[in-house]
Amino acid sequence: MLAIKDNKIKNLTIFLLTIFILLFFTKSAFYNMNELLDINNKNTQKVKNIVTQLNSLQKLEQDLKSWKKDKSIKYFMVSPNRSDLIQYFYDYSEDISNAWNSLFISNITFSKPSKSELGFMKENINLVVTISNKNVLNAFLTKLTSDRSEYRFFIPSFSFPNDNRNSWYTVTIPLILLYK
Amino acid sequence: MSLKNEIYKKNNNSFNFSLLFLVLVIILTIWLYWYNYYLGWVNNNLENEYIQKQKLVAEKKQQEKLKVYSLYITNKNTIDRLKKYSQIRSFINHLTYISNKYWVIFKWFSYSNWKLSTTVYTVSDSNKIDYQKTVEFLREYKKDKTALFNIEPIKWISTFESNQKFNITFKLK
Repeated sequence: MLAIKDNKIKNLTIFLLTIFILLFFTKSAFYNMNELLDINNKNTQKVKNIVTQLNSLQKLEQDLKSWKKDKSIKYFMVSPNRSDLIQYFYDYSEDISNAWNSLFISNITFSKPSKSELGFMKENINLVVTISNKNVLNAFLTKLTSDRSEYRFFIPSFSFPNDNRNSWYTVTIPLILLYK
Repeated sequence: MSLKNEIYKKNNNSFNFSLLFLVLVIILTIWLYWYNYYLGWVNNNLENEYIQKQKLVAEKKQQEKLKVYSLYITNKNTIDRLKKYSQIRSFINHLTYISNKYWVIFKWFSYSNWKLSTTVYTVSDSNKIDYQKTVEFLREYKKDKTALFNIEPIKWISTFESNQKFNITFKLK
């Protein structure tokens, strides 16, 4: 009878000990595990994203090394400042002007540079030029939009009389310059 | 005697069961602690890996040529289109070419939003009457394989003595 009573006490003690461990150790470890699993999922996703980003950049780097068309991006690599651009236009005007051909820069208006929707910096420049004939105009337009020029401009709109006159005329050329 | 034995046995079984349950709870708890430690270690490694990769990405993004190349590749079609639409000189030359080919005269040149507007004049001469030149130009240019533009429908045409005049809008192909 005494042995049975003794066993009951042991049973109760073990039961209480089990409950104590469950409540004060197992439960907190379980909650901690869930929290750590959440963090683990987030971290794994973060690493996966950055690895994808890094891989695409590395692939681009490799492509760039084997790419032969450097001149296609050369004109985006410029860091234009106003004084350089002013000099660029006036130098050209000086260079081509002679007894038969003339180009005078009447006015240059710069806009505030902003980020374009393509991701490049964008500067709008409005040029007002007076030219002696159509050939001069053609040569100037070629210079402005050539990949081989120091600056490569885009021209969104343009108007001129086109009446085969042999006298001077003044035209406005809106220019867009995209750069890094 | 046998009843006593049976009660004792039953009591002993329940004691063994309690003990087994305690052992299982202890094993589960130890495993949970070990697993949490392992997860902490893995998370630390992931954090470190993320920081390292982020540094590499930032370094690569700092390379200007790569940055420009990346933007160029992403926007290549738009940039090519912008280049094409900026070829004002080739549009002017094209008008001269059409003018010589179809005996028409273009006055005024206004280009905006991929559209070129101009005024066309046709003049009667010994070869053709003005309206014949007009009709031939409008009919043949549409079939011309070298044409840079499509012609938008003409809204009006006027005749004065031996001249015809109308406005025309070309849309870049």
